[in-house]
Amino acid sequence: MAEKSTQRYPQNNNLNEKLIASIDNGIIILNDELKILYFNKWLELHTSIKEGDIIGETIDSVFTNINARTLQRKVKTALRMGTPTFYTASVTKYLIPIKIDQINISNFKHMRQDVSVIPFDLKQQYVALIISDQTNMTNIHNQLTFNIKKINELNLELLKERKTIDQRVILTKIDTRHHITDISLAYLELLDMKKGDMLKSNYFDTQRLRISQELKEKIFDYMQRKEVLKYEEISLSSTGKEICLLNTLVPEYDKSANHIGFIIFGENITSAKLVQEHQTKLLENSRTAAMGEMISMIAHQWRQPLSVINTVVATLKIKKALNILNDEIIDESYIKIENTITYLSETIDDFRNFFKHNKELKTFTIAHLLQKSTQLLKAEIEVLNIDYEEDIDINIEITSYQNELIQTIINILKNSIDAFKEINTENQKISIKAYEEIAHIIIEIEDNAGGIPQEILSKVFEPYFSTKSKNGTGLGLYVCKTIIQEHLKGRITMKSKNDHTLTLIELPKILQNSVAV
Amino acid sequence: MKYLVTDDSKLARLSLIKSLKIHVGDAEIYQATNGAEAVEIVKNNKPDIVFLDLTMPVMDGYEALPLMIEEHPKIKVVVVSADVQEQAKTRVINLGAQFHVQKPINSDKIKEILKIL
Amino acid sequence: MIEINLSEDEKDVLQELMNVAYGNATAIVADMLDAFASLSIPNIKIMNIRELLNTFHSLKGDSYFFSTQAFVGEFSGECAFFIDNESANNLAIHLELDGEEDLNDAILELTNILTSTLTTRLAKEMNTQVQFALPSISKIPLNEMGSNNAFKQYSQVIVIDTQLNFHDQKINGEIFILTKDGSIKWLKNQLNDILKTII
Repeated sequence: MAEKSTQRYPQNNNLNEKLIASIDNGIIILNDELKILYFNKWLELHTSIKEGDIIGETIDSVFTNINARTLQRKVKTALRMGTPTFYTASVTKYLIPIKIDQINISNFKHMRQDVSVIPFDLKQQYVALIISDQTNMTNIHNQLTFNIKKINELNLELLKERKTIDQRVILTKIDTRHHITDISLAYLELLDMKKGDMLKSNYFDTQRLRISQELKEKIFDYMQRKEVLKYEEISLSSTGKEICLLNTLVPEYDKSANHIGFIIFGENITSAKLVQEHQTKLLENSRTAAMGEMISMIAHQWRQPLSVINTVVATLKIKKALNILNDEIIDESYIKIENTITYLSETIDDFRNFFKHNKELKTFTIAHLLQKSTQLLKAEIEVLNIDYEEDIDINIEITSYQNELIQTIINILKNSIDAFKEINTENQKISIKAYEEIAHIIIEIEDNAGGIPQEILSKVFEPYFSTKSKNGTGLGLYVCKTIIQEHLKGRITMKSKNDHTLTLIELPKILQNSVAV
Repeated sequence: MKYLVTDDSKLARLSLIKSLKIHVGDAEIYQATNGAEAVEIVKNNKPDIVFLDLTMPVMDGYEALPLMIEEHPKIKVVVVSADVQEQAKTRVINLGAQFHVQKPINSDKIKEILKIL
Repeated sequence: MIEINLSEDEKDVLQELMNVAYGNATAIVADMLDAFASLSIPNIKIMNIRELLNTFHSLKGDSYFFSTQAFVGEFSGECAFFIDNESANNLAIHLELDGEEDLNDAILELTNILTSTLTTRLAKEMNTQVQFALPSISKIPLNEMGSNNAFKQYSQVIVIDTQLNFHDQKINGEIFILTKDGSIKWLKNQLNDILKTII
C-alpha cells in the first residue's frame, strides 16, 4: 500500500499562493517605504492593474488618492507595536479606488473598504494590507441610520400626539375588576383630581359616580358580553360640580388578544345638558303661562254662550212666572241650551287637546290648522273689532306636530291681539297667507298693530324679552322659536315696517320623524 | 551595602526584593511607597543603592530623584519604570540616575545592574 | 448573579501589569505624536453597568469623541476611549490633519494603539494572546449614553481607567478596559498565579 503523506499541508508552498489567490480580499504587501512588493489576483481583477506593472512602485504613486503621510504613520505604528493598525470604511470610505457597477448598491461610486495594516515581517519591515469589501455593510448601516432617524422622528410625533390625546380626550381605562388603570389629564382636570388619587380606585366608586342601579346593571351586562355601550354618567368633581358625560364603553385587549379591561371614552355634555334642562323649564313655564291665557280665552269664549243659557233660563223663569210657558217654548229652550252646552263642551275638548302632548306626526291642511288656532281667539277678535282675513289654498297639506304648531300660531296671533289692545287704532287688521314653496310651507301672519322698532326686532326671540306693559312672561316668542326650530325643524323670522309687523314661518312640508320633547 | 526599594505597588517591591536577595543575601533593604518616604529614608539611613519607580502618588520619581542626591550625593539611583519613552529615559539620566530599567524587573536584570554598579 | 471582587493584592498585581502595559502603549503613542506623555497611576474597579455609565457621565464636557474596540481571546472585552473636543482639535493641529475624516481616523488610530498595546502586553504578562476587531467611532451626546445598548451586555465590568496626558500638546484622553464576567474570573485566576510566583 502506497504511503499517504501525513505532513502538515503548508509544507507545500503552493498552497499559500493558491489560497491567497482565491481569497475574497485584496492583499498588498508593502515595505516601510510604501513600495509594493505583492498585489494579489483579487486586486488585479478589481482594479484592472497588473501586478507586474506596479511592483516596486510606491503605492501612493499608483493610487494618487492615498495620503502617504497617514499610511506611513499606520505602517510605522503597526511595525512598532507588532499588532495591526486599521482604516475603517465608516471613517475613511476606501483606500484603493474600485468602481462599483452593481445597481443595487449604486449609492456609492467606490467600494467601501476596511483595511488592516498587518505587521507581516518585522525583520524586513514589511506590512500586508488586507482589504475587505464593506460596501454592503456600509449601505445597510446607512439605511439603518436613516431608518433609526425616521423612527425617532415618528416616535417623537407619537409622543406629542399621545400628549395631545391625554390633554384633550376624556378617557378612563379600567381592568376586568373595574379598577382604574389609567385616566387622561383631560378627565382629571374636569374632576379636579390627581391621577394618584384615581388610580386603582373602583370606577363605580359611588363617591364620584352617580348612576342608577339599573344603568349599572346594564353596564355590567355589556361588560360581561364585551360589547360596546353608550351611556350617560354624572360624576362629581372634588369641588362638588356635576359633570355629565356621554360615555362609550369599549373592551380592551392586549397584544395576544387577551381581554384586559375596558376603555371608557367620554364626551362632556354638561353644558348641553344644562341648556336642555333650561329649555324644558322654559317650556314648562310657557305652558303655565299659556294655560292662563287659555283660561282667559275660554272665559271670552264662554261669555257669549253662557249669556245665551242665562237668557234662555231667565226667559223660561219669566215665562213660567207669567204662566205662559208651554211645551213648545220648553222644547225650543231645551234644544238651544243643549246646543250651547255642546259648544261649551267642544271648547273644553279643544282646550284639552291643546295641552295633550301629541307625539305623533300628523298630516293636516293649513286651513284646518288655522281654523283650530283661531277658534279660541274668535270671541276676542270680534270684541276688539279686528278685521281677520285668510288668504290660503285650502288644499295645502303639511305633515308635522299639529298641537305644537297650533300653540305657536295662537301665540303669534295673541301677540297681535294684545298689541291692538294697547294702541287703539282704526282699521285693525290681521291677515294670514299660506303657500307652498318646493318642500316647504310658508305661513305669513301680518298685523298693523303699530310695528316693532328695528333695534328691538333682533331681540324679540330672546327669552324673557317682553314689550307688553303687564302680564307678559317674555317667553312667548322664545318658545315659538324653540318649537319651530328644534321640534318642527323650521325657521321663524319677524319683519316690521311702519305700523306693520310680519311674522314668517317656514316649515318642512313633511317632517321626518324625530323625538318631540 | 544598604538598599532602598521605592514603588507604590507592594507586589512590585516584593518581586524586586526577591530578585535582589538572590544576589545580595541578607543585606539591609529598606522600602518606601512613594518619593517623599524614600527621601526621608535616604536622609536618615543613607542607603547606597536606590531602586526608584517614577509614577507614584504623593511624590513621583522625577521629584524625589534630585532631593535624594542632595541628601546623599554618593547615592546610586536605578530608575525602574514602565515609562519607556525616550524622553523619560533622557530626563532621569539628566537628573542624576545611573540607569533607566524597563519594568517588569527580573533576577537577570538585577544581576547585570549590580555588576556594573 | 455572583458578585466578583478583586482583593487588594490582586488589584495591586493588575495595577502593576497595567502600568507596564500602559508604559508601552504611551511610548508608541508618543512616537506617533513625536511628543512626551506623563504617565498616571491606573485606577482599577469592578462595577456594574449603572456605575460605569455614571462614570462616563462624570467625564466633564458635553462634546467629545468616543471610540471603542473589541478584543477577543481568553481575555476578552472592549476598550473605550474618550477624548474631548479640545484635545481632538489639538491632535488635529499637532498631526497637521485636515478635515473631520482624517481626525476621526487619527482618533481611531489612537484607540487602536492604546487597545492593542495595552491588551497585548497585559495578555503577554498573563501568558495568553488576544486579537482585535476594527475600532469604531461615534460621537454620542453624554445624555444618550444611558440608552445606548452597547454596554447592556455587560453585567459586571472590570474597569481599568487611565489618563493619557500630553501636557505640552494639551491632549488628554481617558481609556477604559471593560471585560465581561467570564474574563473577570479568568483574570482573577491569572493574577493569583502571578501572585504565587512573586511571594
